[in-house]
Amino acid sequence: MKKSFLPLMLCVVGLAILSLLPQFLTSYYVGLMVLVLIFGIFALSLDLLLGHCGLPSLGHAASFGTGAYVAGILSLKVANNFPLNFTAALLAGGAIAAIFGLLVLRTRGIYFLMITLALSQVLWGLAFKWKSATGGDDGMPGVPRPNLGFLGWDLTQVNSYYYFTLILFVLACVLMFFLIRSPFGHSLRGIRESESRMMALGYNVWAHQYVAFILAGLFAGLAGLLYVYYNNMISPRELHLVTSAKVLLMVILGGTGTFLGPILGAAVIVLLENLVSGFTERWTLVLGIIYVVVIILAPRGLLGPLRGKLRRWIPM
Amino acid sequence: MDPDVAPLRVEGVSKNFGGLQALMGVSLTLQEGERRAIIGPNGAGKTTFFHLISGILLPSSGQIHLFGQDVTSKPPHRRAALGLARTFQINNLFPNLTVLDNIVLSVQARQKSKFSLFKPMTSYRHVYAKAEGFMEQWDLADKGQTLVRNLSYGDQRVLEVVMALAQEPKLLLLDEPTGGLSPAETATVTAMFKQLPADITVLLIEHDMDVAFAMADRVTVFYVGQVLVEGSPSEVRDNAKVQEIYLGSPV
Repeated sequence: MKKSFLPLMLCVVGLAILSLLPQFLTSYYVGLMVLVLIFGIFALSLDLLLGHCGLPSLGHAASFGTGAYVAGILSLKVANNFPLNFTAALLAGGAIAAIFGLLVLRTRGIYFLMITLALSQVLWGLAFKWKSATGGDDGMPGVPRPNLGFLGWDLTQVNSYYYFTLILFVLACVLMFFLIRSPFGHSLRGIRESESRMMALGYNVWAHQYVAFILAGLFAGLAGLLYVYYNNMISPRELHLVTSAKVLLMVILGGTGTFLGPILGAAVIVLLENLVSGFTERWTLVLGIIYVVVIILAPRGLLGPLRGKLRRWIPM
Repeated sequence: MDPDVAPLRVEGVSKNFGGLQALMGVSLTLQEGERRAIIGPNGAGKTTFFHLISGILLPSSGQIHLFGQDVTSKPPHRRAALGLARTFQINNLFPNLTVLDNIVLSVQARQKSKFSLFKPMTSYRHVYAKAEGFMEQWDLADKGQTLVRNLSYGDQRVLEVVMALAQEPKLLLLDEPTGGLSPAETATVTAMFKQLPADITVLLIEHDMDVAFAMADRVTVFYVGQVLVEGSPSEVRDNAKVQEIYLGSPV
């Protein structure tokens, strides 16, 4: 394989643009970019399942919402201790995946879709009804952002929170990229292509899928944590089917298994949702039209047509 | 030879699918280095027998021993770890990965490094070197970067076998490796088998009688889920019951 500095340069340029953005944007748009980064992490985590393992989860909000609730409740009711709450939220996202994984990985295809949906809706129901612990339907307002004053950082400022999110976003991307190009990531793609052949070759298919499911949960937990801090409140919506469906659509819109695709899909949907809804309440209509157009012109997602070129740099 | 270390020892294996009895009390033992062919009409239970040995299906009764170990209820990957490899009757490859990546996954299967989460795959030079060696040996070298779904059927069929060989097995199960190939391609694949190391034990399902008789030291005939005859190729060829099944009974 030829060494090429092009992708590295593109990464540096991309990172430079992302770091300079707050200089050019009003705080409203910086806030939108925060959401883009958060949903970028969330979409990447789902793509580990959908794009690399071939597991279409319609309940990925379970880990996202669990991470959000754990971070929110700990910050409100226990202590606003960032290292502790950060660890707890990620582990909670992974733990709920570890529990659900035991059940859902017994199924495939449409049944996998249904069982992931059902289990995540159970969690949503729990959050919705268990008023004393979760605030029920109203959620919980007033979740404070982490206090990083000792670093000279006031995260209540949207620009600071943007940089805080950007650092975690870049870390998540780097980790995820390492993961998908490792022998483990390679094996996941083999499993996506043929489980029975991988078994015959000597791979423990279930164990690979289970580890991937938990890792995806950890990343989703991180996204949930960033989301709850950004909004300063938690609501059951974070666990709801609508959130699961939204992130699934981001991945599919951008192009499954293309690494950049899910991030792009997150950006498109977050921006559309917020910008178009400023003009019309029927923004989902616009989203629907975009879907139809993408499905007709690029059935494998926005980055689908570039797959052949991207393959040189991104394992897929 | 001590029968306990036979590469494969199957004892009285049966498999029922609901009311259908696909296999009824089949026993079969292979000696090290043996080349055995299984023949029999469609529905005789040949492929079901392979699924039981490789662990994709579990038997309703009976026992399976690989290299002296009871694997009757072990999952497929544990059996592969003992040195078992198989090919599939219908190509079972990774169509959206390159030929090289297909073989790399096969070589990787028996390396400890397959559990690594963070080092890039491409840093395992010895795995790639081995995979490239296999491509060189079996005439796939110029197709390394081709996606498997874009390969010709003949090349896919060859790759199906190369994937199993790249596992460096001690016992190789081949399920109709020449199925659907042209006579020229069949000759290529048959020549491949002639080059296999002598210490590999091979169990072959084959519809093409010429290939089966040319390849095998011994032949086992399956018929409606049971072993009908077992013997040398000439014994089987001359067996009246076998002739009846394949040619029809004289009226």
